[in-house]
Amino acid sequence: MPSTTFFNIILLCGISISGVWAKPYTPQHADDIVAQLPLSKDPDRIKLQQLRASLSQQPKQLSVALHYSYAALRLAQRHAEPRFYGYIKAALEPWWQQTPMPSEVQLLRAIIAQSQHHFKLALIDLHVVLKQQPHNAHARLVKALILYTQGKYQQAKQACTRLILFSDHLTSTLCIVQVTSANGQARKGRQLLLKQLRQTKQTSPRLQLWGWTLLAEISQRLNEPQLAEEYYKKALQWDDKDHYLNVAYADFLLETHRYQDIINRYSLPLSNPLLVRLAFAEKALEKPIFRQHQLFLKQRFATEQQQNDRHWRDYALYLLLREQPQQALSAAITHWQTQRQPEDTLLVYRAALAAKQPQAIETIAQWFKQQKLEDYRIQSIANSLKIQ
Amino acid sequence: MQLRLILISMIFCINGYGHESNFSYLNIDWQKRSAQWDINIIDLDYAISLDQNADNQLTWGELQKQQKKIKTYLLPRLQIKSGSENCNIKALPAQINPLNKGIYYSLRLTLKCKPTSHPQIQVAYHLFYDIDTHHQLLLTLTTATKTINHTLYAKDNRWQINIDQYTKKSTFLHFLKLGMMHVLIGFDHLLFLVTLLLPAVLLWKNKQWLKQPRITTITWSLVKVVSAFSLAHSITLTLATLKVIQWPSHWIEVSIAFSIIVVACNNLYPLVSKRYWLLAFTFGLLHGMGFANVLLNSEMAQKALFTTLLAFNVGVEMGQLLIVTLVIPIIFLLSRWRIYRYIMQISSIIIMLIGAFWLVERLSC
Repeated sequence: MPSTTFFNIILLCGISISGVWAKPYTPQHADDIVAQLPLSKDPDRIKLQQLRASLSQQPKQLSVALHYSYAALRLAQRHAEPRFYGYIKAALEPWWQQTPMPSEVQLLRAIIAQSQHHFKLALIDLHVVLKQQPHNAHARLVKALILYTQGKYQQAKQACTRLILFSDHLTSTLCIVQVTSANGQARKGRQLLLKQLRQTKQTSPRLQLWGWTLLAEISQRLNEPQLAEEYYKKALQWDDKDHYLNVAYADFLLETHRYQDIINRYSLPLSNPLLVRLAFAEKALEKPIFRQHQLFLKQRFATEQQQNDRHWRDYALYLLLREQPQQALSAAITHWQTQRQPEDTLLVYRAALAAKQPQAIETIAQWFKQQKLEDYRIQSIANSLKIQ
Repeated sequence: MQLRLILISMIFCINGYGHESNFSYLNIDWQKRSAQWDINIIDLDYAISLDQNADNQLTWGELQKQQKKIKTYLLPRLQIKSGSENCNIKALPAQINPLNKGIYYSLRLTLKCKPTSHPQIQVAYHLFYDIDTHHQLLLTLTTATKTINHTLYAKDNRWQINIDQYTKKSTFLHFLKLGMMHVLIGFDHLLFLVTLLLPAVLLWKNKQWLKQPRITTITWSLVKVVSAFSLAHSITLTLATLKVIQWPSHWIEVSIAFSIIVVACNNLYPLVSKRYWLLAFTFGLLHGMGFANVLLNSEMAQKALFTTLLAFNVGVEMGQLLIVTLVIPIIFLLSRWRIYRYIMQISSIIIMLIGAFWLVERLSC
């Protein structure tokens, strides 16, 4: 695709000129493409710009600001674009310093904190919100998911169960199955969820997306790739662009060695997680462009380091890509201290296998057993490493 | 409503392009009164919609058509003050700057600032904070003497700094001082000079050192030696600073150490006993090149060669003069004693050893 190539060339120019003070240039022709604006046609973003216009007319109207904020939030989540959190903060500026903060604003603050992995802060805010609004399903759901991410399955399950009272059936099922499928109830959970998804009249795209993605992930863990593929395809029908889904699907493609499929599906511009996975595929197929992408990743991670903003999971994967298993292992373990989803546990095991250091993950291995996480990938690594 | 609001927080690890805020970059070259301002095109597009034909791509033509709109949006959101008055900021035609964090719209700015005796620069920045509180400006300011980096945030979007006003006068004084210091602290030059002066009060006759009785002779020979040395190093200092002659500084340093050994040995067994000034001149040429290194390594000096060269030279002479006026009376007084010749010989041995030590050190480095 010519435009992609051109963009890649521009990127390469950017790469070869290191440092901030790269050389600016004047393009030669009027139809030279200078930038990709992947969201400029996105209807959500167009709507967001319209909402911002009306917000600027009434900046002190909380309902308008909230409407804008949720629209921005959807974009943030869908595209994994952190800019939108800044937009939300700007929109809610009049209320940000208020004490007491309006509940809705506090909930958004919690969600932003969560997205930045400041889980403790998020939980504090959520606690306050739920005290004032025990029926607030969204807050409870976010809380449940944070607890799940932290590996606190019992508490997460409790929060999900409470959700039954305040939310629709599908949402609470999703929440519960998300937790219990990682906690010894994978098949049962999957069955239950599948039934719900088929039966429900609830056609909210976000819920459907979540549901099918979760089914796919569970199937992946249970070593049922055909089912996983089927569910991923269904999820992609609901939203082909969702970032979380795409990362999960890329992992699935890597695991099933479908490297060409990854290369066909993903092209720049890409977020770090997707670029790392693309690079794995390119490396496996010995594509020449692998080196450029690796260099690109190197610079991105260097920037992260400079800004003191390390994302350990991606970084650990990148280190595995660079065949630096020791550092990968320590990055994965660092990451695992704050996040313990099945993928995070798997990452630790992978790194331990690469570094040949089973003893480094003894506590994690114990936790894995305790939680009864059913994941054949982790189990097979455990067997290779002879971890009990 | 409730259901609509229940957005699925599929944000288990939202790791997009990094959790970094969006950045703009501003690099100010204060001496040239110019700046370069780089703004991320994605941010700009969100603020003022650049993709007019909505095809997810921005062409150069599309961008050029909107230059005026963009400048009208951007320029009021940046103020640079010199002293108490805002500079007039004018934007040259924009360019594209691909950095590894994205594609940037790159504006070269010229600053027209009123001259002021108040050496303070202020930057006030308001871009995008109304839309995005995470936006940051990474600012780099380069003055004659230093480069400063600073970040401006939504909550902290003003910055001021006092800059050193480098006038001709202060530059002159700075390098004058530098020249003086270089001699006073430059132990090797000092030692060389003193070694040369030691035998000035003596006379080599019949293979021994005798007291030189005539004060006029002493004075005259001192004057000749110091002047010859000064003249020589002034010449080579100038030529080397202007890069007319260029010797690797390593070898210059080695030769200077060698020169000390030579004059020290000469004090013990003079191969040169008359026309000391010739010795001083020859080695003075060498020392001058050593002095030049200071100027060659100074960015500031390179920008104002005439002033700094003159100042440095004068400083060196002044420093030298200071030493000479201190040392000569001492030598004179000491020379009243008969044992002076032994003092001189012993000192020369010590100096020779020091010189040898330096030689070895500088050769091996």
